[in-house]
Amino acid sequence: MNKLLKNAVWILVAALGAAAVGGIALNRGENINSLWFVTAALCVYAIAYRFYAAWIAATVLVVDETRATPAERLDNGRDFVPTNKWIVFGHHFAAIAGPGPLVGPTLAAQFGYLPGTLWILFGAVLGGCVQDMVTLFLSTRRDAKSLGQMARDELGALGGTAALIGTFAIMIILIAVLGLVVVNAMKHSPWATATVSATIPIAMIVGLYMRSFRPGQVLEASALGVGLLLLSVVGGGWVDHNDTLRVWFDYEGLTLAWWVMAYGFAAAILPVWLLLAPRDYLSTYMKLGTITLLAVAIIMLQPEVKMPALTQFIDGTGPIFGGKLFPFVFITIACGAISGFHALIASGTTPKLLSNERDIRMIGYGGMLLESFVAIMAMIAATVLDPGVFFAINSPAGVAGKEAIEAVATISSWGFPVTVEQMQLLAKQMGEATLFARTGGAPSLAVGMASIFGSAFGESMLALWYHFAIMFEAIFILTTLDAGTRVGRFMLQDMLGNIWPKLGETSWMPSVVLTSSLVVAGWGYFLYIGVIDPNGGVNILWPLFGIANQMLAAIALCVATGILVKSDKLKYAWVTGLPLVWLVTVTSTAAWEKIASDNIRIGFFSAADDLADKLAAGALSAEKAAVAPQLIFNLHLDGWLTLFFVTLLWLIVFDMLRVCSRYLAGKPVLPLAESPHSPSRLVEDWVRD
Amino acid sequence: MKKIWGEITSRFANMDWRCCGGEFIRPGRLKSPLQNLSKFRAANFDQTLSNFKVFWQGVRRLSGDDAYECYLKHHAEHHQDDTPLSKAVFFKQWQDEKWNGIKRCC
Repeated sequence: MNKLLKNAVWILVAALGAAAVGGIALNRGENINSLWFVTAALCVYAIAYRFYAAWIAATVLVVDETRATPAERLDNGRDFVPTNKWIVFGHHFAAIAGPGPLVGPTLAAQFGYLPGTLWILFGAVLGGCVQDMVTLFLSTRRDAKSLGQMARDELGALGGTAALIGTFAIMIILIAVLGLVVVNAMKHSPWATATVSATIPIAMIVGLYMRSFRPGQVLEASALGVGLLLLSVVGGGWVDHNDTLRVWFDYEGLTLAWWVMAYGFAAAILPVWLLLAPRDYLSTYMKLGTITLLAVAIIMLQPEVKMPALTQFIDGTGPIFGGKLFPFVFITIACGAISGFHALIASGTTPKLLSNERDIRMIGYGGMLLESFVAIMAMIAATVLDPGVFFAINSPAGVAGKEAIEAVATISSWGFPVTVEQMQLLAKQMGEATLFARTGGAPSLAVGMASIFGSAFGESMLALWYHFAIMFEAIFILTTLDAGTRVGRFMLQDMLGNIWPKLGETSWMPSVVLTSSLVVAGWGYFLYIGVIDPNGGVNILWPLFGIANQMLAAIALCVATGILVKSDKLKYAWVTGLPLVWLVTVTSTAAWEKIASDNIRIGFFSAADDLADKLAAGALSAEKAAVAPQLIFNLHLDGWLTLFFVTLLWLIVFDMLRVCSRYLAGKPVLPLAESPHSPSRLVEDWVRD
Repeated sequence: MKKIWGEITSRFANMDWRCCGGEFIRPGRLKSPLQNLSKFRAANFDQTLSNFKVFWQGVRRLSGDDAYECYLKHHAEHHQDDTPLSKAVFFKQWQDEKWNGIKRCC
């Protein structure tokens, strides 16, 4: 009877989920309530978690709860510590959820709400969650080794090297694109600039408090920091209304880009306790708090989604980035559906805390489900805006037109009516001079969040909510920027240390300064080009980031598939094999189009040729002609970089296929690197409880 | 290559959330008002209080606020011979170790 009831509940969940997904997919021409999105997401997640994840854990991976995990076997009270699963879940989620799932869906909303939503839901349950969970499992079985090391042990040197290069490349491009998002949000906005700058001294105060004033009092210091951050949002508004002060914070994009680079350099060489660690505390609290607030506000208010299900831009003419629905929606939304970066956290970092293998499903699969839900909320926040407003904020000046009248005319001609007055009113409500051409996702998300929060908690504070949302995004984008620059520096020092050991010493200042400058120069270059590009560098950088991130995911899935085959689980290899095939298809198609397309909005080389022709013919304005040579060089560089990524991807795929076919033919391959079974002593204690 | 990876993995994987280990009370459910009302209120108040304690314990552990207490406990169990570090010194080491490696994602 009880079993019957349980089955009935699951059938109900399945029916409700199917109805919600169907409702979203088939709705045409009318507004649709965002509660449908939440319902569809929760039902899909519940079914996937209950059945698919459980099946993978029990049948494919065969998790063994009597087996001691590395945290138990290697417990040193330091990095290896068996930890309660909810605590591990908290750490894991805080580590994987960054700005990616907020920016990607916002950009992909140019295709309409439907493609992005479906990819976030199904990409996550069939791809991203599987990748995270399987990687977590494999690393747990291998003494918490990192992805790169597993690739080297199981596939060979090629896989390991590819993972190393992939990680470095993704870091550089990720930081550049995130820097661009922050710059576009602060451009000519004294309020946002003042608030974001204030977060730096606030982090330092918190750092000093924890280090010197009251050592180790993390929560006290964080509470102080969060209070100061909220004050800085209000203080930014005060600066904005003060005519003498506001000019101090009113900058061009390029000036801000130089500041961001200087900041990144300083953050990479300053001691972690002063800036990086306290900033991370603050950004984690802000992130978790704001995401919870957004979820509560969406469920309470159930705002109407005004974006159509599909826009005409699925044909590849989209203003935010060029390219057809296939493959570009799958490249644009990486985090939230499947993100290779997670494999770096799921291997090496999280397994050291895992006290029992049976928690793998909840932490690996469940953690990614929650991140996917964040992406769904970002999609809702972007699509509750009037489509005209959404495109006015996100279309770069080079596409929609530089002047407001020109821009609204262009956007209205696409069939998304918007007026100059409407935009002016909105900008005034948000406390900004203008909201046109703020490409990058952060401002439109902030407007969306501000309107949701505003109607939940009071309209009068729209400007405060807007700048709160900007501060919230900026603070953890800057954390990723700090942390990424440092990681890049360590990687570079390691590589250079092979050439000259002295350079590998992480405490030798000349080496620290040299490698930090090299890393900052790497992402700073892309950021600089992104800022001077009249088409808004997001158009170029975000697809590059997507391709790099999906390539890393493909590496993780290759390692997983290879190990499944080597463990005589060929009949289950599709669990990671199918997402891999899909990713390779998507990434290769996108890369091919970026390289070979004749369309100058998609192909890097054709865009470079077009620009060179125009420059030669003197058809460019003086302003554009001045930056054209740099843009042409950059387009060539991006083209070659894409080619490099996709070549690397195929090399790994072939390497994995080589290993698998050798194994299946009975030829010798690298042995499975799984550590031997040893019984868990923690389990017995639990059974007795 | 091998050396690079060894270095990187050891460095990157140095996560230290120094927690005391397994023991962690489960939050309980509130009781239903089947018996008399004052008894029910008192029981629920206690339960709410202990649930809050569990929540607070989780917050402290996640943030690392109780890291020093955990360290002292670990020290008392495993290294009774030498004196434990002072809070300031411990915290300095803890923070430096924690921030080596990929800790945040996109």
